[in-house]
Amino acid sequence: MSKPSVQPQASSRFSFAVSDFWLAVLMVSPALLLVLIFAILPMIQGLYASFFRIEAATLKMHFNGITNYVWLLKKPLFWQSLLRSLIWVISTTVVQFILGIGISLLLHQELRGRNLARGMVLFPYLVPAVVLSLTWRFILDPTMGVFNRMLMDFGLIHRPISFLGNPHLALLFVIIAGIWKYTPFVVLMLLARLQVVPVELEEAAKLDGASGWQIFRHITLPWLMPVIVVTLLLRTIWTFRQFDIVYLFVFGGPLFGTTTLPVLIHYLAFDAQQLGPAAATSALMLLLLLAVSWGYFSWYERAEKRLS
Amino acid sequence: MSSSFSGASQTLFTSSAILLRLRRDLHRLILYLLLILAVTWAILPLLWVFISSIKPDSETYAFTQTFIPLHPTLQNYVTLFKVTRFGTWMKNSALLATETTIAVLALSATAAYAMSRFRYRYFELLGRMTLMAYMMPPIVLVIPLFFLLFHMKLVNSHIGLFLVYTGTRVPVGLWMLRSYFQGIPVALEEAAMTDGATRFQAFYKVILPQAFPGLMSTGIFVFSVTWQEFLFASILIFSASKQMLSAGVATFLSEDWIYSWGVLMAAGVMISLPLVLFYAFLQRYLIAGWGTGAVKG
Repeated sequence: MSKPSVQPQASSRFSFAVSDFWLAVLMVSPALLLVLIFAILPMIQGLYASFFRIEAATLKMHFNGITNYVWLLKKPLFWQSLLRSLIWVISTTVVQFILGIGISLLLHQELRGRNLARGMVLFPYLVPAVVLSLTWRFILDPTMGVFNRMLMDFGLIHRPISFLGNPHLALLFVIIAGIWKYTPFVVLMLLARLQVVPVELEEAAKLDGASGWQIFRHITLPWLMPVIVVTLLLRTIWTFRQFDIVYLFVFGGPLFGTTTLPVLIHYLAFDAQQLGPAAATSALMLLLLLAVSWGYFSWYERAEKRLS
Repeated sequence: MSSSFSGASQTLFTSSAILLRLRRDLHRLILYLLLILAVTWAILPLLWVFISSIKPDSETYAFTQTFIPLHPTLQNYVTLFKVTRFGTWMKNSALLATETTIAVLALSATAAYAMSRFRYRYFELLGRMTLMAYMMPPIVLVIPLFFLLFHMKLVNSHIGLFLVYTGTRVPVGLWMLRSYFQGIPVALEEAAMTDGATRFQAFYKVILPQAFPGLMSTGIFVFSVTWQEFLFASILIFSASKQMLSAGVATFLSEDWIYSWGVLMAAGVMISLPLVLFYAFLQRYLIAGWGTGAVKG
């Protein structure tokens, strides 16, 4: 993060040094207190609770060591959910970036109606999770969904398919919906960066007879790289922790077909009443998140270094 | 002989020029086709939701569907507000999102100002902590939060949900506003303070107006995410009359009695409406918010 350009010590000229300190504390405390109580402490409490058996009715806690973790790691459902989480994260982010890079380069061209197109391409990012689920459920509905009708009109299928009734197809369509909603975010980030690509470099390369692909590969792409890495990190984390879209799509079903790790936590805690194992799953999820962010941060530092 | 030769090279030259122009035109044509494809992919599903919300059931459930409604009607919207609790949920969400936005702005603006102007070692630690809080998956927090509210006797209450929303949104507000305040020159307050203003007056009267665009984008961002919040509301609230929008509408999906697609599509349009309006009129602030909120977070 950038350092503040101004030395705060400058204020000591006004001989407010002591009162400044208390004013600062006063100004920071209310926000800090809320964050502590409603974000930091719950996280710690959650980690702590993962070592306890918790009675669902009374919320009474009994220490049981690593039993929750052992129970969890023995369950095939946990490993299946982890696998589905990986499939969900990798496929959505990869396609988002392929589409996102393409669309942002397209929207960077001098085409008529470009601004209007920019505005409209970003629309899906606005759509709340519950509306996303309504939209796609409606389009994919077996009896009156427009998608089935279209496939039948084109003669591709003879009778309607219950897309969300099949575990594999349901996961596929959650992935498609995720791609649909979040590609605009990638476009937004990359477009901002494209505005500041040094034009001289591109033109010099053009004069030297470089092809469009060579210019992209050797000038535009390296310039985009730091933003791509940051956006990739954000998208990976956000997709990994994404609950609303996946859950609301088909409530984790059918046959757990769309149960990713966050949906598994919800299922364990609120349907199976297994609060301890739910806490253990949360802890493992945090661990994975930490590992991913650490990996990306070192990659980001390398990408920044290569540019300078 | 020579003239016919030069004539041939002339035609050769022009035909290659035509070919070149043809290639360029084709290139542009492909670009426009791709542009149309991208726009269609982005808005067609939403357009379909809107169209279906103003179609009578007879057309929604007809065997051959038309893209343009034959008999547009607002009947679905009337049913939505008269028969279901949608109106109540909308009021709850509007109220709670407004309260949360005001609280988050007030708390994070003061804290972000202090963090950008005074450099004490533990403020750095604070910055890291808020970043960590921002990264925390809500699903990990929701169970402990349920415990916490349970012990505070604030489960199923708007006060409890308000505290949770504010506590979990303040880190975003802090991140967005801190970088904004850092961009405002300290000379501004110093001038005010040499003129006799206190530090707090300088913050309140000089810096806050300067930070208006930053406050605006932070405010819109916080309002939008709270307006559509699903998880916390669905767990921490259980009376239908106290429910929030997304969690309320989600109950339609698990109850078959209201599986009337026209009404559901009307609900979808109504939930999205404020966000679309913000986007249409305040795009500048909104996109700035997405950018900073995302990059810094």
